[in-house]
Amino acid sequence: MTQVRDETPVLDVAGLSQRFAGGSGHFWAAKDVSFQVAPAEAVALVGESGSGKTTVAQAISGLQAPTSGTVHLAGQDVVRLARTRRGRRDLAGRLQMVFQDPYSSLDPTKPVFQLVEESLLLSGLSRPQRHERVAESLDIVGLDPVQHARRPRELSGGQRQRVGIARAIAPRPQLLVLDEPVASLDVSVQGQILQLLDDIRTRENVAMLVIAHDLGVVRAIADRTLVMYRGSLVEGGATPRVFAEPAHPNTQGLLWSATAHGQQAMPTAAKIALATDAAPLPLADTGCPFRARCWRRTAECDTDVARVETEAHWFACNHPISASEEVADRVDVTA
Amino acid sequence: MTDTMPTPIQPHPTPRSVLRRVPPIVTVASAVAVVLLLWAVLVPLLNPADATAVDPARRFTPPGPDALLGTDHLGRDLASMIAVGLRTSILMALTVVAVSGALGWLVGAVGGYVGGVTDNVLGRLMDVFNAFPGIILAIALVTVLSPSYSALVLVLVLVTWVNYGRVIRARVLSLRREEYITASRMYGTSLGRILGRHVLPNTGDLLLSISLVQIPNVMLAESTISFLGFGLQPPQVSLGLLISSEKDYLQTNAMPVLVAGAVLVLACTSIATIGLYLRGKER
Ligand SMILES: Nc1ncnc2c1ncn2[C@@H]1O[C@H](COP(=O)(O)OP(=O)(O)OP(=O)(O)O)[C@@H](O)[C@H]1O
Ligand code: SF4
Ligand SMILES: [Mg+2]
Repeated sequence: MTQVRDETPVLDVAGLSQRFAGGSGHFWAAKDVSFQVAPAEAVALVGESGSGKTTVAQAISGLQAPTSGTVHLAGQDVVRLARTRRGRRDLAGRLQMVFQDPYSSLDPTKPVFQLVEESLLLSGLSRPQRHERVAESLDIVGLDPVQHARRPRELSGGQRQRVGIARAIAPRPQLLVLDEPVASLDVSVQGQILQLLDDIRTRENVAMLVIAHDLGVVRAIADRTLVMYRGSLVEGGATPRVFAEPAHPNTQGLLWSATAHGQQAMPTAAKIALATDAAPLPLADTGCPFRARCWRRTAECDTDVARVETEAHWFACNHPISASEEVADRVDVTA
Repeated sequence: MTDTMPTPIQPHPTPRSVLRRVPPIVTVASAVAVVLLLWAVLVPLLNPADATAVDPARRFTPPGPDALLGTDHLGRDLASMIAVGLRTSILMALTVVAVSGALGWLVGAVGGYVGGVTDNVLGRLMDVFNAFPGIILAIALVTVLSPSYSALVLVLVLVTWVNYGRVIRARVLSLRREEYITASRMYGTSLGRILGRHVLPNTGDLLLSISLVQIPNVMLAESTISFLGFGLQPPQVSLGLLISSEKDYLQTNAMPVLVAGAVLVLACTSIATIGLYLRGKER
C-alpha cells in the first residue's frame, strides 16, 4: 500500500492559497498547500471543522479559483480549464466529485438512470454508449435495475450515495474528490460505502482525494493521510505511520479526541491547551498556525516552524512528538 | 448488495392516501370547479347553436324545458350565455396565466440564478410593476390601447407576471446552492440547460400553485373591466358584460344577474381554494 510511485502524479497541487474575508479582516482559508496524488492512490485530507478542507477541494475541482498557487490534473491546469464551459467539460472527464449530502446532490425530480447519465451528457458519447456506461456504473455500485426508475425520495441515504458515486465514476475519471462522502450516513451504512469505494479504486484504477473528519473513515480507505490546521498542512505520510507515530501535536490531538480511550489518556496540559480559543492569525504571520493550542510551544514557534521530511512521513513542527517518546497516549483509533 | 439498514424511505403516495388527507372544503371546491367546467363545455353542445342569438320574442322567458334558466332581456338563453361567458373567462385566464407565468418564470429564474447586476436590474423592474395598483393600471392601459381581447390579455399579463417573478426568484436563490446544480455546472452544462433541466422541474409546483391563485384573479379582473365597459365588447360574451347588460332589470328580473354573479363567485372561490391549499402544502 505504501510503495513509492514514480509515475507522474494525477493531481499536483502547488502553493495553493485561498484568502477570504472573515469577521475580523482577511485570513488564509488555505495557505501554501502543496501535495500530490499518484494514479490510483487514495489520499485523505483530515482536520477539524473550518480547517479549510472544503476550500482545497473546491479549488482542486475548479469550483473556486484560488488566490494563488496552481492545480494540475494529469498535467492540465485546472484553474484555467474551469474558466470556460468547454474546459469544464474536459475537466469532467478526468475529475469527478462525490458530495457530502446525498439529498442536495441529486435532483429530486429525476429518476436514478437520468441522474447518473447527466455526468456523461457532454462527454461526446453516443446515446447507446452512455446508456451502457450508466447501466455498468449502477451495477458497480450495487443498484439493481429495479431501482433505475426510482427517484431520490424513494431511496435510502446509502442508496442515494451509491447513485452519487455511480454518477461520478460513469465518465471514468482519473481522480475522484470526495468531500465527507459518508458523514451524513448511518454508521451501519458507512462501512458498506467505504468498502464500495475501496473496491472501485482497485477495479477502476481511480485516484481518490477523500476529505473526512472521522479518522476511522480515513484509516479504512486512505494510503496516505494529510492533516490540515487553519489552512495549512501540518503533517502527512503513509496512513499507518501517521496514525501509529503522529509527530505533530495537532495530529496527536485529533487521534486522542477520536476515541473515548484516547480522551482519557490525554494529559491535562494537552487537554487545556487543545480547548483554548484561537483567534485567526494575521495574513503575514510566519509562526506555527497551531501555537495557540499547543502544549509544546516555545518562543521560537511564534516566528518559525521547522519542516522535517523523511521518506514516508513529513511534518511541520519545532518540537515534534518522537516515536520513542513515552506518550501515555499512543492510541490506535481502530483498537 | 443492498443496505441492511436503510434510512426511512418515503413511500409512493397512492391516490387514496392523498384523498384521505385533503380537507373537505378543498373536496367541495374541486367538485364545484368540475361542475362549472362541465357546464361551460357541455351546455353549448346540448343547446341549439343560436341559443345565444338575440331574439326579442323570447325576452325574459321563465325557466322551462327549452330554456333551463330562462332568458335575458335580449331573449338569449341564460344557461348558454353563462356557459359561453365561463369559456371566455377561463380561456382568457389560461392565456394570461400561460404568458405571464412564462415571463415571470424567466425573469425570476434568470435573476435568481445569475445574481449580481442582472438580478438587481430585474429585481428593480419587478418592484416597479409590483408598486402599481393592478386593476387600475389595467383599466388605464386598456383604455389607452382601445378595448379588445388582445389588449385585455396584454394588460392582464402586465399586472400579473410579477406575482410569478418574485416567488420563482426566491425559490431559485435557494435552488442554486443545491449541490446537484453545482455538479451540473461542473459538467459544463449551459445556463439554459441548467434552467430547463433542473430549475424548471423544481419550480413546477410553484408555477401550478401560483397559477391556481392567479386564474381566479384574472377571471375577476376580466369581468370587472368588461363590466365597466373597458374590456370585451358586445357581441363578445362575458360574465361581466352579461351582468352589466342585465343590471338595469335587477328589480323586475333578477335571475340573470344573480346567476351570473353566483357562477363568477363560485368559479373564482373554488379555484382559489384549491390554489391556496396547494400553496399551503408546500411549506
Ligand atoms: N466563500 C467564503 N467566504 C468567506 N469565508 C469562507 C468561505 N468559504 C469558507 N470560508 C471560511 O473558510 C474556513 C475554511 O472553511 P472550509 O469549509 O474549507 O472548512 P472545512 O475544513 O471544510 O470545514 P468542515 O469540516 O466544517 O466542512 C472557514 O473558516 C470558513 O468559514
Ligand atoms: S511548532 Fe511549536 S507550536 Fe507548532 S505544533 Fe510544533 S511545538 Fe507546537
Ligand atoms: Mg467542509
